[in-house]
Amino acid sequence: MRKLVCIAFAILKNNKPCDPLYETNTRLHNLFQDGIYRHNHPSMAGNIMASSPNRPTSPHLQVYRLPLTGLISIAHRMTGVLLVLGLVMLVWQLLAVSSGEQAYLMMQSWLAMWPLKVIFWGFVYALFFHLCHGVRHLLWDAGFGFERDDLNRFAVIELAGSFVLTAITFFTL
Amino acid sequence: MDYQSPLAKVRGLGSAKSGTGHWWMQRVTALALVPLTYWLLVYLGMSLTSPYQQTLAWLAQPLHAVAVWSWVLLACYHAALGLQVVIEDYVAAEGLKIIAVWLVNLAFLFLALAASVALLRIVVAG
Repeated sequence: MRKLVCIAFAILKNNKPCDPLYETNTRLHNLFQDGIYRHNHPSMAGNIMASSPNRPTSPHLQVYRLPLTGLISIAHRMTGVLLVLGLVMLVWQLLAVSSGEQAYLMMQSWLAMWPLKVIFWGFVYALFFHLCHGVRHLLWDAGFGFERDDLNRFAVIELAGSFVLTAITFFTL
Repeated sequence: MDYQSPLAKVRGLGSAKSGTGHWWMQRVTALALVPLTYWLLVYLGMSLTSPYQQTLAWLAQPLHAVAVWSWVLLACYHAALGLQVVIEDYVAAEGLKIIAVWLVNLAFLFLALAASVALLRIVVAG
């Protein structure tokens, strides 16, 4: 996708071939802005962007690579939604336990199969990641950790922490 | 024809009174879920490997039953609040948004009730 954007803007800029150096974020960002601001180029005729050339442009998701903190933020939301599926499975599991020994053994044999084992440990990891980032949200709410260095340090701590917690759970359960 | 802007309409009416409730309950449930997660994982580890009677005996202890039960109820509440935010962010159509949020709320109510029935059966009936 990024290559396509790169090529598209290279075409806008006098049909030059795509320079691989433009792959880096900053260059792509500059290229993007150049493309917008070259409003007098014939290839921009009739373009909506060309009609208001001096509008500020924010880096679009297709051009701009999210920083680690941004990736973690969206991962928090995605794990939150996925954990809902885990919650549904947990309730199903509780119903199986409450339905007598036969249902219990059936549930155990199901969850002993490797695809469901993988899903189970994915659930545990997602749970710990969501928990770790949630704790950071609570710290933010309390007014701590808004400096850039803190943000990056916490991002690494969260990722490592959720991995370590999952490993501890794996070896103690 | 209504020429009043939305701002003009609400000006002077005061706050809606429950503005911070959603945000606050998201945090309260989150904080409560952190320690309770320990018992959830112990329960899961036990019920996936241990014999039937052992799991029942573990769950029959009041602390364990209450901890697991609280985890499920609070998780349902926390998830309903969280999914509401996600829906409000991505669903633009007003009618669809309201229907989606209430379907989610009802689904979690149903889940919480199902879990409660299951846990009551385990604890009371054995």
